[in-house]
Amino acid sequence: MVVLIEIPFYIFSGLAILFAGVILFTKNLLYGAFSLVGTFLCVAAIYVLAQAEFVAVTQLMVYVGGIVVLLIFGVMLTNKITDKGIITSSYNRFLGAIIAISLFVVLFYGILKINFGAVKGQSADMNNVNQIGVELLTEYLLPFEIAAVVLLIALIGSSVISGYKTKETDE
Amino acid sequence: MSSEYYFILAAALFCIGLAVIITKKNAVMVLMGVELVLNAANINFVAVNKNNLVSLDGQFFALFVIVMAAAEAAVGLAIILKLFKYYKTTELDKINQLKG
Amino acid sequence: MINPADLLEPLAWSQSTILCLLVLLLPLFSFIVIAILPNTQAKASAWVGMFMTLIASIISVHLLIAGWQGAGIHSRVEWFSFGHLPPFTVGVLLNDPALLMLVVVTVISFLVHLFSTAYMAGDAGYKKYFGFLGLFTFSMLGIILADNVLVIFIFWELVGLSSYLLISHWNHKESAIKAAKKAFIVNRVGDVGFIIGLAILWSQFNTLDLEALKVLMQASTIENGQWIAGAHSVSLPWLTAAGICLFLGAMGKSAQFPLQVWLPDAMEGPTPVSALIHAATMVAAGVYLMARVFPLMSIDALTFVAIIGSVTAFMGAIAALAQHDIKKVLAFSTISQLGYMLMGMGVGAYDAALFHLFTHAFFKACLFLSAGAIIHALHDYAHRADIHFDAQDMRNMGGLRKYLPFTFIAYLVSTLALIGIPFFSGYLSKDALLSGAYAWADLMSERTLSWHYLVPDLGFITVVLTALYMVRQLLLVFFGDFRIADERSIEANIKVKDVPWVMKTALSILALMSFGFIWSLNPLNHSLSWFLSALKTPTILVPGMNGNWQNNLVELAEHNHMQVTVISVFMIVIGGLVAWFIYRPKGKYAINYFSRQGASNVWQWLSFNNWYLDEIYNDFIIQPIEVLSQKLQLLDTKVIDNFIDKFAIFNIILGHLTAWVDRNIVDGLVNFSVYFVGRVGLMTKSMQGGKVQSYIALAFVGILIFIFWIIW
Repeated sequence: MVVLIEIPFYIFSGLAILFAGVILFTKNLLYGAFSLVGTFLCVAAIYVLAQAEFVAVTQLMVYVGGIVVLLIFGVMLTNKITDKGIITSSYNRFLGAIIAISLFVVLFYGILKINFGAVKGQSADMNNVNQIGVELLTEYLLPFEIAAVVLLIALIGSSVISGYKTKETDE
Repeated sequence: MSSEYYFILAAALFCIGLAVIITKKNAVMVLMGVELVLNAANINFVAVNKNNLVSLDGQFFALFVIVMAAAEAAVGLAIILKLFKYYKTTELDKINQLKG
Repeated sequence: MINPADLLEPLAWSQSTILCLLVLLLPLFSFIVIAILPNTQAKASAWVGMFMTLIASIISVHLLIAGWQGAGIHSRVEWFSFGHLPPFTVGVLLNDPALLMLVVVTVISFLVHLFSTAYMAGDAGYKKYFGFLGLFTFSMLGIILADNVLVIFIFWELVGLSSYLLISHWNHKESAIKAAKKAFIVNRVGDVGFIIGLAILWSQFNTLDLEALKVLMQASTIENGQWIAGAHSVSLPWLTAAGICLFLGAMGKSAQFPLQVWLPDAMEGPTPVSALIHAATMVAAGVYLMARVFPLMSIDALTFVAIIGSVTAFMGAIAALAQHDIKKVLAFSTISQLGYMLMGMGVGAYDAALFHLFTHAFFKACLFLSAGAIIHALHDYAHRADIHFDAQDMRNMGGLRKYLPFTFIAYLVSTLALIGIPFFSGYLSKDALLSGAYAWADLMSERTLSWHYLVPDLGFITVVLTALYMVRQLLLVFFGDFRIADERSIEANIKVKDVPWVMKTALSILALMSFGFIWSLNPLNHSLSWFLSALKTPTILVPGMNGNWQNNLVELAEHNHMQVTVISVFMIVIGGLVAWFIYRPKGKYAINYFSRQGASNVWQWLSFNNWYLDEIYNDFIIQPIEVLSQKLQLLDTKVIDNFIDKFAIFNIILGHLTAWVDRNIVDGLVNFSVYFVGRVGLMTKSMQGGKVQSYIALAFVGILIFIFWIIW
């Protein structure tokens, strides 16, 4: 069992890092966007492996179905579509590499220093989705409602920001 | 399956996301980097919650982060559109009015 | 102990002293007025000068009559003060000698002004001449009136300056310029001594006020070879040195041996100037200075004065014997007579010396002005006869009594006065001088045979010589034939014209003053003279002085007076007869005189060249100094200039080096720091690139550092 879980974990985490690497190194925006989809899918698989089925589903619905589409729309709206592809370049590469690598080294070192084996694991008897639904409407009701309001405000705000305005108010 | 592997994966995704944020010129790409970073954080929450599935606090955090990410993406894209309308570009190195 | 500050209280001004100041300032005023007169108004300058000096003379005569034989009047004000020293005062000290000198200077100055109006007529420097006469008179009056030795010194130098200006009046003549320079420089030699004397007195007494000096000198004492005055003490020889140094000043001005060389050359100036400066006033300033400081002179210093005086009297008389220039004879005679006066001062015959100063002032001024009249007449003659000859050379004269009778009489009278014939003024004063000298020799040698007798003996010999050269001059100028007319065979109808009346006026007044009865009711006995009886010899106040010395001197002088008179008259007769024998008209000398060149034997050459003093100075002082200066110049150009050149080159090299260091190292440092700061600025500027991502990156750098800090 342990092995059965580990193998897909390695596969999906490797794929996730690979897709992330493509985002990092590609020059084409659309490649980047699609690699992001790949990454999200792999991460969703990781969530499943970590026994967070509901989060994985939400990940698929929100990220892959919503955010990525939104991003691709953004790409389309801000670039002229030509046959050359939507190219972007990068800069600050040296600084970025140093920061990223050194941060990774530090985190890696820190993670290795912590002994997570001491943490005792506990299993739930309840269905995950069921449990989340119950808790969402009982214990996490207030954050849930606030999240709804936040989403509404974000929706309004984004439409206000990007919407057309009359000549008089537009600076 | 110990949590360290999740954390290391999360750290790797986080660092790649960070590198994307820092190096990419296009604003949409920067937003993608931000999504990567948020995913890395979510992996951490979920991995921590994996050891104690009784309370599911970590998963809730991950859920709320996804909600916030959606809002963030919407507002961020709106801002990018506005920027594009104003500067006629989304290349961030050309938008340097903060320059001292 | 006396506090010098108490002696220097300001003294109130009286009517007399204010009038004195007026007399002093009138000639200065004349100088200023003439200086600002336009050049076209040259005639007016003479009238200004004459008017001012006439007023000054009238005031002086008034002062003399009012103040004669009164107590001395002394007024002064504080000039300045410094430190803890007593204040420096300046004022007017009016006593009998000062009053007399005042009259002599102003009257003779007036007469010279009067004479000059005719003599200088048509001269290009007419205005300048009268201006400088005013300046000279002012300076001379300053010497007479000042109560302070330093103020006397200041006017003393002013006199030197104005004398320089007047001697070089004809400044287109090389000889006149040289003579003026010579007079000035030789006088400086004496003035160095003068100022050293002042320094000694100042360091000892801290004041130079004459009256205060007298009191302090009397209060000073001598102990163990030290001369003590208050807190100051120096060794005893300084007491004598002070007197001798003051005398050095007088030596320069009064043309005493060895500084007498300037006076004959000074005859280059206009003749009235010679009369004023080199007969009556400036040369007498030295004698007058001695009279002022007489109480401060020690016996040794006085002895020095007496020796120098007698030697000068003798040398001057010898030098006068063989001269051909009419003014040179008078100049040497003046030197000789000044020697007499200083000899008189030296032997303690203060009154006699001053008496001779006054009588001499008048008869010598008369002689000079007569000579001036002769020169003027001969110039006029040369102009009309259209020939050129030296109007001052006696070889060109002769027989002038027929053409210039008035001048002849004036000349004769003053010559007789100079020789010392009874009934004339010179007899009285010279007799008094010789009596004093003889008495001094008696007293000093204590009636044993001693070198002290040389002083009166030289005096007696000088009497012979004076008679000799004056009779020679009289004979050569006024008797015999008019040589220039005979030799150049000029037509007989061109004659020498008599001089204008202004000259005659001046001459007559001066000649009148040469008669003995003006000065004494009994013209045979000087001791009955109103002058000498009025003039009291001041007591010598030098410490360590035998109080009876001066009394003994007076007694002895009265005692031997008869002897001296007989001897001197005898001497005069000898001199006169010898002169008549040698220089008589139609004599061998007179006939060959026109073609005579210089002198014929060693002794005459010695006389003609004034003892070769000029040559001696030239060989022993001027030449060595010139050689030395040439050597020094050589040293300067060769060694010092070279050294300085090298030093300059070294400096230039050093300058280049430092410039290099400056440009490359110092500038380099500055440039480097600027460059460094610039780079740092660029780097930090790049951080502020306005790019949000860079800010994020840097923020993460900070976070990284933070995490490092926490983990380790």
